Amino acid sequence: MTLTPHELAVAQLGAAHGLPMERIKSLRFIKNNIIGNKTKKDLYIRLGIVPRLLDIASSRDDKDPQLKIQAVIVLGSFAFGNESNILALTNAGVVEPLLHCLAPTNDPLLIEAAARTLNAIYASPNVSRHELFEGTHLHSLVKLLDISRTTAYPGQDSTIVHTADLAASVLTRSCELAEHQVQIAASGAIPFLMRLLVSGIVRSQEAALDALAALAKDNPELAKHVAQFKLDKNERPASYMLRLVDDKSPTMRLAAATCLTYLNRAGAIPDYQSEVSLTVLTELVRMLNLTGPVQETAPKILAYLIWESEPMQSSVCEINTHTKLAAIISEQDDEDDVYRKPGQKDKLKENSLLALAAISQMKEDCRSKVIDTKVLPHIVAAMTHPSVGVRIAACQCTRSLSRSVKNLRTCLVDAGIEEPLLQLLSDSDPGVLSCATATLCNIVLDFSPMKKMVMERGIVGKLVHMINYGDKIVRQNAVWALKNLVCEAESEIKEIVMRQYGYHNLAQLLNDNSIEIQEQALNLVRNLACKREHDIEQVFKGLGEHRLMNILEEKLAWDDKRLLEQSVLSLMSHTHSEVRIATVWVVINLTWPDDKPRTFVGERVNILRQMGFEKQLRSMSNDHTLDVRDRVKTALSHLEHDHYRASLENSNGHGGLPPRHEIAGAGGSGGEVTPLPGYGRPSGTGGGGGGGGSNVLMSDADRR
Amino acid sequence: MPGMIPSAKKTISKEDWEARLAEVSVDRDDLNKLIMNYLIIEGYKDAAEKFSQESGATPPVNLESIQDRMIVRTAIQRGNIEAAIDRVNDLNPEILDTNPKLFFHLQQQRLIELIREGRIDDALEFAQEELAPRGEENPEFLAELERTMSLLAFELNSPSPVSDLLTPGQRQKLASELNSALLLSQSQEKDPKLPNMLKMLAWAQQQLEERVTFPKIQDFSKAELVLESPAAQGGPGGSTLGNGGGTVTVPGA
Repeated sequence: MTLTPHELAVAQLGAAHGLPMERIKSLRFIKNNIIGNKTKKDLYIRLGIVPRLLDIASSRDDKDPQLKIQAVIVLGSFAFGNESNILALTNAGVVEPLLHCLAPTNDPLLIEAAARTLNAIYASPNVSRHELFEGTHLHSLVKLLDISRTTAYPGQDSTIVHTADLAASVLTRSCELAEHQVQIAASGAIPFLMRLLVSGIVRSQEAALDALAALAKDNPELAKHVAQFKLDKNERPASYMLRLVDDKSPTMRLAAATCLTYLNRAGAIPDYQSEVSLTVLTELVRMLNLTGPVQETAPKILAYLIWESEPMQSSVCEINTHTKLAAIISEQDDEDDVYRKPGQKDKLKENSLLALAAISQMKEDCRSKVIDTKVLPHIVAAMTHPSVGVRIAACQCTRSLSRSVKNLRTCLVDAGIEEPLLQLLSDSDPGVLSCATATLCNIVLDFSPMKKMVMERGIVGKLVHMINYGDKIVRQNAVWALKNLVCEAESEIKEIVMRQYGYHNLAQLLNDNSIEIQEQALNLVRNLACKREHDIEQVFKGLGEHRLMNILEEKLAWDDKRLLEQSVLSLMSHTHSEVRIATVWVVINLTWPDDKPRTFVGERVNILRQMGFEKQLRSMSNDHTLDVRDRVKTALSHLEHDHYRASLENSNGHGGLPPRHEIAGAGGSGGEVTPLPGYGRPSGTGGGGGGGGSNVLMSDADRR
Repeated sequence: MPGMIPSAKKTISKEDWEARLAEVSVDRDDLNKLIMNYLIIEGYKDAAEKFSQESGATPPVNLESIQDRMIVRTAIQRGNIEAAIDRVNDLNPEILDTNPKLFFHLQQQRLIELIREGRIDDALEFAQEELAPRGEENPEFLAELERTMSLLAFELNSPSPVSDLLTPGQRQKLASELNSALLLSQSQEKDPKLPNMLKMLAWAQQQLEERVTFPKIQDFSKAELVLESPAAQGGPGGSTLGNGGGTVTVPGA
């Protein structure tokens, strides 16, 4: 049987076959066959080429670097194929030998080829990066960023510079975890990247911007480090990058805008430089009029930039961005192009939806403007799109839009979002589930006409199932949804819910491993008990009086000093009077004379005083809100020497038990400052501070 | 027509104009860089080398990279597409793996060359094995593929709706596309700055001409200032630059 030329070429790679020259010739033949040709790549993988290439790439025989170089280049071309090609490479174990090829003593062309191949492999989010962070590999890689090495390699400048670009790109793709970001920075990458940034070489500058962005993303500490670096003449990187936002190359503009966005959202660009974010914002919006990858990515970055920022959402709305985004989304549905590959524009749709979700996240007038663009039917259609990313993004839109009572009662019902939403609750993707459950929280509120519809479709059972089997976020959202479902609800509904969920499960949930879930569980108890006497009795009966009291006491006993200092003391000067009142109540409750010995309370008073609470309270005596002044008076009286008398006075005032602050008793979801209790709170609790919501959004957006 | 009322226009004398020009100082280094930029991007390696020696301007890139690009360009212009592909893959194996459109155009040209040589069976096999899968991967290529295939339906030397594919212009287009991709991969501009500046000069002269009569450059290769008599006005004024790019010759190169 005669061999095809391809089979022959693979056979000739074996070590037993002849001279290195012959093998190099075969490798070049294969290379020129597979580059750009996905069919041939698949063919060669089927012919079993990978292990042979691996042998060559990991051989210790360095007499002829060409052989190794060509083998590594061929490996790289496979990695430019598809996900399964990459998998074939990583399963064979090519990453480790490739990392060894990066060692600085190797031939610069081998290093370049290895960096390129590694970069192509790391394009896949499914490949583990752990090998890079073991041994000296990271160190070798970071050294490659140094373009001043060119002096040591005369005539190979372009190889050295190109290798630096590739190394930066490998690092960009290895920043997914915070610990990796930190390790990369600790290896000294930032100064080298800064030199690339100001190199004036387009590709290098873009690669440096990408890497710096990846290091700063969601990492306030590193972002600060990047922002405070001093370039020539003490210029700060942000002002240099701001000039690149005006560059003539769109990819450079996008890279610079992205980096500045991440620095901004990580709090590294101070407020007085707010024109930075406005410039970036305007540029990102302008990019929507381009085509290709820049237009595709810009709305995602825009969404990230304006997420949880009311002023920026307003600004974006004012320049009619929503109209453009709505047009992009709608056009695709109307387009009927036989020459278009299915799925080709999914990313553009997904990211545009994310941007719309961000625009309509906080401001009611932005929401109305989005609705006015008539894009809603397209959003609803996108909820059942074949692409996971598009489904999540569409769901995120409905979640933002459903934060308005008006929308809940009108357009969202008319558009029929409950049907696709219910469908999403059975989705196999965890990202879809967490977004769908978060949207559901708003749909099941008492004034929502869709509440009845979804209840008839068995939503309670579904949520109970999710609490039992979902991942952490889904469980948390599902409890949240139950909490909202019973908020201000008829006793009958509460009983339906608890018949399906069961008080013994609720009791367990109150001691869940996750503190966030515990919080929601407590809120659920509160909403169940509020506010009819009958409801209270049901809860006592269901959980058992003794058990309930024990649980509550246990939760309240948590008075960590740092917690007090960070949350309560700092919030005492909050702009909202309600927040100030709540903080004062904390002091009042902590100093309430109870049945424990007086010395116990006295000790707490001392601690609070040492922490500066008394001073802070005195400064609040002239607060412009009467309620605050009243509570401050009470709190101060508690801190005064005669606790006993003070307590008597207050007992008269409040009729015995020290009431917890009113917000908690109102049946809402606790401390929500938005006009509607319980709306979309999941977005704000995903993690610490402002990053929480963004995390939810961006991790979804990055999912492939 | 602005030239219709010559009496309304002011005239600037040649002396006056030259005096004004003398006030503007242009950095010699900048001029040299501009010329070097043109020579490198357009691929005049020898000229760039000589110019570097004479003017002392250091080329911003390795001059060998010019040579590489020129070899690729020449191969395409001769219809030797495979040689060009091999060379590009040696220079940077990433280019054709990450640029499906360019890769398709190269394969399309290979098909065209096979048809030109009358190797119909080879052409059919090549189209089926190499081009059809690319069309499957990227349906946007299908229209072009169909057009190329219809070459087979016409006599080679008789005019047809697709005969443009057989012109040197088709090879030229591909050579430029490939040259741009190579330049981009080397972090270089894909268009030289000089032709654009000349276009700008032509435009500026035209604008100014609407208001005043002044000594202008009519022949860019000589760069002489000519003060026209009002009657002779309305000439083409730099229309030779219309198609930009390679048509401009640089004095002294």
